[in-house]
Amino acid sequence: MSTAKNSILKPLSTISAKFLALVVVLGIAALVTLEAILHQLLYGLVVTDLASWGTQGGVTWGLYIGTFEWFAGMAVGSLAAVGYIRYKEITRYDIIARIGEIWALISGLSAAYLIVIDLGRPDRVLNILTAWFVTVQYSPLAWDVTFVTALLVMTSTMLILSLRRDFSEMQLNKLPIYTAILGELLTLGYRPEEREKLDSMLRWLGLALLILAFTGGMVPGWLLGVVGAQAGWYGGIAGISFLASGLVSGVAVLALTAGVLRYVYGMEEALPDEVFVGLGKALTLFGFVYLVVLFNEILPSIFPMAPLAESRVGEAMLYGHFATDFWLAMAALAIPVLILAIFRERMLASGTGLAIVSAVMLWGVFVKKQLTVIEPLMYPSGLPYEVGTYVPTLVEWVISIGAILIAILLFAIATKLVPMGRLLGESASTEEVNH
Amino acid sequence: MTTTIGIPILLGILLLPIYTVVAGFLFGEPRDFRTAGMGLGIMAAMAVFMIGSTAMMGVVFGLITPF
Repeated sequence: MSTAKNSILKPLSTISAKFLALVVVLGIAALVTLEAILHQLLYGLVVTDLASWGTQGGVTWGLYIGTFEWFAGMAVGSLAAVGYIRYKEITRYDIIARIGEIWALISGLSAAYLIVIDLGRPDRVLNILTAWFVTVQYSPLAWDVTFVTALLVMTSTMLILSLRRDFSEMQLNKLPIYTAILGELLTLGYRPEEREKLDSMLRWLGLALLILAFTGGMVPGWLLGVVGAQAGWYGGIAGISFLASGLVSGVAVLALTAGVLRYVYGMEEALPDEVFVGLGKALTLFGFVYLVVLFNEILPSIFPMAPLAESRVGEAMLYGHFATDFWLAMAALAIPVLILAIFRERMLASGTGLAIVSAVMLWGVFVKKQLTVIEPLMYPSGLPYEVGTYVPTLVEWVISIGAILIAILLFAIATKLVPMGRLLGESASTEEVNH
Repeated sequence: MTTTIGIPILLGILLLPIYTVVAGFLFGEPRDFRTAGMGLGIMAAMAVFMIGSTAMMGVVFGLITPF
């Protein structure tokens, strides 16, 4: 077995004290989050600082929806990367595809959970399901529920089918018992003659994920873009802006995770420098595109000919209460793009540098998502309302940041359950050279 | 018009990946309806699981919510 093969299985075969400590810390964070959720279920949204738009001088959507948009974008970006790798069968990026499958699934679940927790009565999620046949005819929220469900269904199918192929190439009795049981389950009824068909199906599924990312992937942006009564949201660029931000955060989370895995498990063979160079180039391009889109989004609202309501939001964004957050978020996007563009290979070679800039960019997108959702709601248009206020409560912070920590916990557990890639044989190596 | 925009969006955009998967699995080379059927079965099962688990979450939340 080559070093590359060994290092792919390394996360499965080692459970260090540091890993256990991480799981314990994240597990405690998950319990605290659960307590906050129970608290909100018992007392309702009054435990948040969310309030009616205009009359109560508040915002109707806050941290939950901002974090939902961040997770949904990350799912879209991961989905696009997985789709591209599987469709083009780029074998050397196989680990990135697996990381992406897991992240797309976890991000999709986190996004779905944050929508539900934002409902005044979360049990009324049942109404969303039963009324879907009617609401899907006109409601972007119903389209969004459809998109997130399709994302979860297709990503989990991709994960199951790609694992069926990967497990079929492994000696299950040499894997940890829980992974071996999962392998037995997923390779149930496997016949060697289905292998070629399975490869073909993964390509088709990859194409479908790409289509889903670039079509349905605009829907969470439309949630804001179609609201004609809300300055700062309304406009034709909202879907594109969401997609562009998602591609940045999706590729960033893959690069960050790959960098951490390589650093922690010494996976230099399985995650070679060229993979990081490729991810870095993608991140540079997507980051630049997102900045261009943001400029186009903001410019009309600060130009002197902007309608009054639009200019109030635009000026508040650039010079108002949250201006520091806005400019820091812009810096967290622009500076990494500049660094990546200038230093390129030198910067990306080890994976560590790319992981650091990816983390910074993820934070930048997170802050921008919050501002995109929250800040316009503070400036009601059309009626003489006061400027609204919003200071998230401890419950909101715990539930939102808790969702991120739970997502990291789930990913950490997944690295101990499923192999991070395929065991590349001679044929795969040849194929790899050809790409 | 707002009451009809959803149908073309649903059928023309949101379900496009599903059409791709069904057509690709069934008619993509090599033809193997057993493996294709298994793949589509997994996708259908995942759809039931995702929708079912969301409904279950609603029921559990309903039990906790006192109002």
